[in-house]
Amino acid sequence: MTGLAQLQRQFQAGLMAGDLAGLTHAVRRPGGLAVHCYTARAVLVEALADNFPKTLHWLGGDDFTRLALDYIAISPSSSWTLADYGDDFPDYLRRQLPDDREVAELAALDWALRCAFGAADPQPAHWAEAPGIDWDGLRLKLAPGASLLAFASNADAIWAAVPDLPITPVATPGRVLVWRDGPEPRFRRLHGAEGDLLAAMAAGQRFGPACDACGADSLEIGGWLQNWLNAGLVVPRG
Amino acid sequence: MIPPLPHSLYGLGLRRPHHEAFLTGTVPVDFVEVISENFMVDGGRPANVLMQVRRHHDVALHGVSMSLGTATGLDNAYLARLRRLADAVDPLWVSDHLAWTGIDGVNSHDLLPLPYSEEALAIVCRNIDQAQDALGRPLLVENPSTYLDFHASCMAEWEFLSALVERTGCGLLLDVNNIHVSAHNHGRDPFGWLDGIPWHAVRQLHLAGPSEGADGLLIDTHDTPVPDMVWDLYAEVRRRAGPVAVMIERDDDIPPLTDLLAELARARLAEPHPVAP
Repeated sequence: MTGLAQLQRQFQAGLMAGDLAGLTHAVRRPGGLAVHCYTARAVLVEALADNFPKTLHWLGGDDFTRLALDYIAISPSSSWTLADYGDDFPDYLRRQLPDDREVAELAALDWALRCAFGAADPQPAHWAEAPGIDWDGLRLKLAPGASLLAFASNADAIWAAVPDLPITPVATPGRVLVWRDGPEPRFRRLHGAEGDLLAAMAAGQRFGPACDACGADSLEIGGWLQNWLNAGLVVPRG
Repeated sequence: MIPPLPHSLYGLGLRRPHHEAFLTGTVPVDFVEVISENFMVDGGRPANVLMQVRRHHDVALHGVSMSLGTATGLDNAYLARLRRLADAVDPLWVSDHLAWTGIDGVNSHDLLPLPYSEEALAIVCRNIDQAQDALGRPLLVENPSTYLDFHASCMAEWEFLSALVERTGCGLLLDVNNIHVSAHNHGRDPFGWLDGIPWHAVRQLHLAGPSEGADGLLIDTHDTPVPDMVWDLYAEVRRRAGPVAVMIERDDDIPPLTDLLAELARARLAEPHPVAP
């Protein structure tokens, strides 16, 4: 290992621990170490605030910052962009706040919207117009940027309400679909069989058996499918 | 090396509050600079905005995560993604900082200082070679703001930069604010620093404003107007440099576009290479 590599590993470990005192001997102006110690953490807290704006509103600045700092200490960034930072922050919040499920679900919704924002542009579903498609045997998946979230709470309603409207977390099991409509990320709660069908296909089931299992009639399913195709929400697997 | 500019260019950073204005194509600038990583995305509004703005203006790609100083080499996936962006944009050039941001796959997202040692020089040269090969174009390297220096340093920052130019053929992006900040923080003469710079390699200038931190340090925050000391230093830089691309680099507390254009107008006043109308 080179001297520079050793120095950089020591520096980086100190940044993650929030303590660069171990490098005091190596520098002429130790006060400068504090600048980097502060900046490295502040940048990541700010990134989490940007990537989870509604979660920040819901928790409040003090609690959000405390949780963010704890998360940062165990989850360094591994991406070249801060826009990717926090992919497992919702899971972290779920573990830290098991009795407040709406918090992790709100964060999951923030993250899904963030991912949709920079995802590949939805493509027209020309593939669906090809003659002779074996719809029963077709396997579909969600297009890049689209996601299906399983919620136990009304986190989607909370997302829409904060910070302007009062709202109370309540148990509201269901699925929330996130996608991008043109440049705008959007979400909507799916009701009953539409969510079951989309979840089954996202899990890899063939279209025909998934339709049979969801219990909806073919007219209803045809309407959903048309909406999905128009929005570029689903694409064939493989 | 990037060929000399025929005449100076004046530009601004493309920042989100001003996207709509730049989309009109009427903002009076010669080029815009974008943070490369913000546009290394698969699609959506950022990519769309950039390609529309590109129809009206030249674009310089300025990165913050190449980590040219990392001892273990550069991230090939990063370089490949940046190459895709550069090929799509056809930029004036691609630039990044004389700094490292992380090692072993971690990114601190802070521009961390290097010791100016022979070992570090060899490593940064190797990394610049790797980047220039992967990108298929020469780089501009920016002088950093520094808050500390290492006992292991055995040369001045300008010596280090000069050696990079000589050994790799890279060009230089001089951040005038960074010259000011580092000189202040280390008790050095910023005008003396200019004496050692290989001016033939300078292609771009950044103008920005710092903030005061603890212990009397100046911090490179880019959230204030360009201060008088930076304007004084800029005037001297313009006397020494050939035609360059000058930009106001404001990253936080973004003011109205008119404020930035007023600063850019002031920058134009120092033009020593006027083009005949």
